[in-house]
Amino acid sequence: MVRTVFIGAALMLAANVASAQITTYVAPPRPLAPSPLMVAAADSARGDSLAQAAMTNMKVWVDSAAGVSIPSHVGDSTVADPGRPVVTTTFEDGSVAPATASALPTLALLGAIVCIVGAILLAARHRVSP
Amino acid sequence: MILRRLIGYALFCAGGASVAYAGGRYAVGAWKQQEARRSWEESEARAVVALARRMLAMDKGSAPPIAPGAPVARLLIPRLRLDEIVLEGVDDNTLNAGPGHLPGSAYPGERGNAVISAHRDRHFARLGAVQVGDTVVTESGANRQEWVVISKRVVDADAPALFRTTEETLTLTTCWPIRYFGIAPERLLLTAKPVKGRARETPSVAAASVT
Repeated sequence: MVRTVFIGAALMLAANVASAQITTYVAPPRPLAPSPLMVAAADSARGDSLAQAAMTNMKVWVDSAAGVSIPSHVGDSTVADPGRPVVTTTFEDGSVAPATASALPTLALLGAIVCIVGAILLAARHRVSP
Repeated sequence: MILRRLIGYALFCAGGASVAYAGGRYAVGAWKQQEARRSWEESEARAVVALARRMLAMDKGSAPPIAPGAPVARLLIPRLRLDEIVLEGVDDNTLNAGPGHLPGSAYPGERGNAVISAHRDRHFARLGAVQVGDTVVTESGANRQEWVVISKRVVDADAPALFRTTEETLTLTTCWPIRYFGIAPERLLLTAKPVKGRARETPSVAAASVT
């Protein structure tokens, strides 16, 4: 049984290592000799890109090129994250009310119930033990 | 038998720890509120000067920020016998100690919307009993202002609820329902407007403004 498991694990490890080592070589296409027209077009495109990067905010430009959506305004106070509830820490027009919800009463009540159940279990043990 | 004993001990200890933690947080909050009240009463003159200077700076467009957790106002609702010292900020520790003034909103007595929030199980436990027409009083060191509650509404926790106003406005918020098991899903918002002609400046403010 142990031997079978050992062989299985060894095979799995070997498969992983092998898949990392055995790769297919794809030869890159041979570069063509640049024609004067292509060189001029490439220079023009590079110049346009540099000019745009210089004229605008670099981060915004890179994010937009990468397809990352950029919020129009990111406030310091209201943190909007799809996975998390919005939390207001400073006042802004249209912000939600501050997070005054507290789990303390629930925690205290649940703790008391659990504590009582535990005490009942211990008391029952004491009753049974004599 | 041993398993039952272990489970009993585990439940007893876990429950006791939870109760102790919650009780400790309540105790720390009550102690800090007392500290804030003492600080407020002892340093009222300094608070007055600080606020007067802040208001003067605001006129120049450069208001210095107030430190988080510092007492900034006193809030009274006479009908409910509610008397609390309002602290700067709405983070967990501040709201544990007392009602919190939302940074960036106006201070009571200033033009704009002054937002004060607190927990439903502590300082604003009786806020649900406030009715439209009730009187609220704020003392911010610079002045004593009487307000009348003009609206009482309940909104979802994630609904836009706070807006800028051009007039003096006081907004009190807490969680809703007041009696709720778990994290309350809604917010109670009370809006109050100043009673005209009831604002009163303390003499020390006038002195502070002069100096």
